[in-house]
Amino acid sequence: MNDALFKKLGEDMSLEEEAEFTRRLAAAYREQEAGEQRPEVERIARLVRELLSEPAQTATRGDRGAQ
Amino acid sequence: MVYPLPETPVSLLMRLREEDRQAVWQVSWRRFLELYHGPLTAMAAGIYRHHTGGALPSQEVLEDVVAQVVAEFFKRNQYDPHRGRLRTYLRMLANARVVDFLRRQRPLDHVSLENSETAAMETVPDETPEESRTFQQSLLATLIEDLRETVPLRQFQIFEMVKLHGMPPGRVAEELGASRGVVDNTVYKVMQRLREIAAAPEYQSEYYL
Repeated sequence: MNDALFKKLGEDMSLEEEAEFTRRLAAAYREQEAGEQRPEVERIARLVRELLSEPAQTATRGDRGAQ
Repeated sequence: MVYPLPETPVSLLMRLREEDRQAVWQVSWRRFLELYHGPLTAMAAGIYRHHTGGALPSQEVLEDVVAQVVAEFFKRNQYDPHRGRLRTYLRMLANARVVDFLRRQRPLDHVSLENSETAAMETVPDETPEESRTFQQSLLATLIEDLRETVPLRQFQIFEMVKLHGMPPGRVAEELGASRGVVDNTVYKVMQRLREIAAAPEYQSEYYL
């Protein structure tokens, strides 16, 4: 995204600039909604849950596969 | 150990900047993962490619690294916003975990890394364009989260329908049983609020490369 466009949010913005910003905002919103449903997020969440419940970082699948 | 998960999403960036760092523990790691798994994955992939001369990591490796970074971020609770940006800190964590993984896989190739943590921190590669793009996208999604928390539900709903879903204001007015004037005025006010939030130093400092 255009850095200057983001900076201009705190200043005056033309209608075109605001429309462009809104377009990018909506795209990020859609991407976010779609991303939350991805199976890899659920898989990573399971790993994080394991890691947060263990005293040491030993819960990666790579570690288990290597053993 | 219990890691509290709040009922509603909160602004991670704002919370991280509070003086009381214990606030970090109140942030949902799950929400953080949902918001930032994109840039974290791009980060891990870019760092892996950098250290291997262009090799592509498997999906499994990427997921492991991202999980470790998220867990470490919340377990350590050491991020100090006064000393650097969130994206930089996350990249250091990701770099250390990728280097650790590579050392385990190919120890002979990495014998010079006596202390993986220290060495890894010193050789963090540059941010890739994909990482930058996804991080900025996550910041925009965080911005929307903040907005949702600070305006009344009805106002956010109107803004969401018009600006985020692209519905014509007239149709939104019909569906919600409101006047067109109310819809237009609400969208204007919410957009102003959004711009105020985005102008905060917390966002501005994170946004730029």
